[in-house]
Amino acid sequence: MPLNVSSFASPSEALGHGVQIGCFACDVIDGARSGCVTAVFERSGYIEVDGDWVCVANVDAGYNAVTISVRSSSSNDWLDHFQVGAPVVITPSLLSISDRPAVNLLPLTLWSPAVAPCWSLATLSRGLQTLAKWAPDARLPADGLGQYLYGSQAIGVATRESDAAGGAIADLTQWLRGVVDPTGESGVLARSVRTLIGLGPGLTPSGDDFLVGMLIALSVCGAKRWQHQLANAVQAGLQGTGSVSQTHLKAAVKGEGGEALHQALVALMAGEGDRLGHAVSALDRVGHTSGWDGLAGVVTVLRAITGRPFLVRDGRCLS
Amino acid sequence: MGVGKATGCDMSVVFNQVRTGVFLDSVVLMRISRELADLEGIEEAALMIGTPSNLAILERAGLLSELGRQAGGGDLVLAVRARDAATAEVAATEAERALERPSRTGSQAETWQPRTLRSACSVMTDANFALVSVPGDFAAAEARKALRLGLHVMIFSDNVPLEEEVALKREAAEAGLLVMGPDCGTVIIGGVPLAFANQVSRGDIGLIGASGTGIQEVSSLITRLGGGVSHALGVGGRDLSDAVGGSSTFAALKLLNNDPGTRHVVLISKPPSTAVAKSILTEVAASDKTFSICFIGAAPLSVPSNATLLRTLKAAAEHAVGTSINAVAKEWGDGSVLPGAGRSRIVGLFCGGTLAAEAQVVFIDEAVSVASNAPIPGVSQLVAASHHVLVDLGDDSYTRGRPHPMIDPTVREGELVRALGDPTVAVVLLDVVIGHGAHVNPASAIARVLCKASPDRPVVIASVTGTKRDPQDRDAQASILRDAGVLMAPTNADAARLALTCLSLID
Repeated sequence: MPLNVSSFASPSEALGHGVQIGCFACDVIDGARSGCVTAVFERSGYIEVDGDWVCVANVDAGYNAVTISVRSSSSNDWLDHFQVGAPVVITPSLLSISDRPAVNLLPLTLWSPAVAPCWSLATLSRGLQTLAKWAPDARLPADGLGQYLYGSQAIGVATRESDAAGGAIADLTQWLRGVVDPTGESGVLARSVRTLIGLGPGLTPSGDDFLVGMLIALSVCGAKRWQHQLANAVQAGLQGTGSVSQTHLKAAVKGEGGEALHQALVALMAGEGDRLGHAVSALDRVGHTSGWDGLAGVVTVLRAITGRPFLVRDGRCLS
Repeated sequence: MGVGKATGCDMSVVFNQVRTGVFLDSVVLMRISRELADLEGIEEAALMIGTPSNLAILERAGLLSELGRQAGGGDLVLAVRARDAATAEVAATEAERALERPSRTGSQAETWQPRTLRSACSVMTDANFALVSVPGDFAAAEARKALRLGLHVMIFSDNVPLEEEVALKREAAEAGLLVMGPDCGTVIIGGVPLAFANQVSRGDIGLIGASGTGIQEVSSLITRLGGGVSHALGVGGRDLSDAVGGSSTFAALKLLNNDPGTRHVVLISKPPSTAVAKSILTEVAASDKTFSICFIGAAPLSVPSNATLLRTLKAAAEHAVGTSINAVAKEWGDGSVLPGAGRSRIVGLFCGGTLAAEAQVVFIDEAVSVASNAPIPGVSQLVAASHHVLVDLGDDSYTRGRPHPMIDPTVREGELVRALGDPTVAVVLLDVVIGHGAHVNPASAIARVLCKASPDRPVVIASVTGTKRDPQDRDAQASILRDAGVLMAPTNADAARLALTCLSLID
């Protein structure tokens, strides 16, 4: 490795201080020495390390499995050196960009999403019933797939994306209900994922966010077989979307995503209304419609589980 | 970057542009694609990453040329269908400008831009004013830095803790500086509009407001009445509370008192603390200027002889200029449109909080019960069973994490669609706020929803807050709305009165 001035830089010179790192991000940078800045936004940047992307974001963007969350005493100054294409050097204590110390990685603690609560069909049903209180039709965004929060029939004015997604969401719902012939399941899943993946505007298209929600819900509920089947289909279709979104889908395949989505999921499962209200408000702030798209994926899974009560035992879905 | 053209059906022109390695967040992408779609002559526009799924929907929408079909998941595809090639070129130029604006690329690093207040002051040694617009958690720290550099401060950011506001304003008072805000959306200094402000005429009327849209409505009406504004100073919505004690209002009064270019002052606020209002009025009494005081929805107060208390923003503007708006207004709605039988409710959907409050005053004055999510004294809190409702869509509960409806009209679209489809709604009342910072064409966003509504929809009444010299052109906005079947009123207060008149005609 060439001698680099950042090797001598002190972590104390860094403008940002890493406070939490998600599991996916931790796996990516663990042992890595270098990378490259691939995208820069107002409050965050992405770096590529050995083919995988990691998000480095201001702490107020919320914790996420793919994110190193950074706190700074002065707004987003730590992002000053983030320029697309700039080289990144990673040491156990410091992230340097273009030879300048950017983010102090000590002490950095591992962020884990909210754990699965004690839940039953009764608590889950209660959670889903209270959803309408916190997410009434009028609050759902006109864009994206939040229109599918209350079933595979879209609410409100159809958009190009919601029209295109309708058939795939209906097929996934049928699959979860167990009405798809087992021999045709892989074909239905592949076709649905192919339709949804990369569908919609933005860096994490609505279709991807919906799949992220489904994958995480299946994982947290313990629906291992379903999760495995859907994860296989998503992994096979990953090239159908952009790099940023691929990162989030890869983390979701491992059962992890953003803090707000996990909070909403466990609140729904535990039937905790107030907690759900806070979580829905937090999701409302995620992207243009990403939070709502992910929640629609979560609810699609949870509603299907309530329709198959015999699969729920000891707070786990035996799919 | 690649550019491609194709001739589509019906003589329309399809234009695609493909950019590789451009990453913009979804909020920015949606905003740009809406701005493009609103351009004259553009039939449809989309800005999406070039995934196979997105290319399929663009293809179905007839928006794809050969170039666009070659895009991949790492590419950003701009696709527009325009009425002719020249229009498509205009959209392409506009897209270029919009896409360059928010990006942070290597080439930008070559142009030095100050990243801190201190470095900005080092190159602008005569600067005496800072505008702080950062996430609320950081705003107080940045404002404090500005004060310590001897700068007056406008804090556009919201979510600044109350105790921080009090401390900042105390520090400013000791330094003889003015803190405008937090959550200060509108300021005009010496004719220079800052943030959400209108292109108003210069003149001798000063404004002090704890309300952004209040300042916008009054300053725009003053201009339309033939008057002009010396300075309009925002103080933040909490300034006249007991906790803050009117600190910035006192400072602004002092500045305008000492300004020889200011003859008359208009003071605007939602209901202030009684104790603070009394202190302010004592200061007013000591001034050699004359005053129009509009504490929207406040209980009657005794005011000094150089001041007049006004109930509405419209009345405050008329008093300041000494002319009635009805003498100069070009528009009044065509009263021949009546709500259908069985309809009995008025639903007001406002972008401006103070405009919603002004409408409430009109309802109170006409003895009509109304509910609101931001009620003034005498108005009930909005509940599901409320009859007439006046909703402030700029309220935190609607805007947390989303753009303000003045920036992104789609925030109002869902509520508007719902109201238009509700068989009990007789009248939908809207404000349209234009000017710097506001959406490029809010009237079109409303017109787009109305053209999809049922023919027996409720009557829609609106007013436009702004001036002809605003980027959106007030007259052009009113014309778009009128063409979409909206009854236009000359002011927000008149729109509320017209709504009540419409209702009385079917009673």
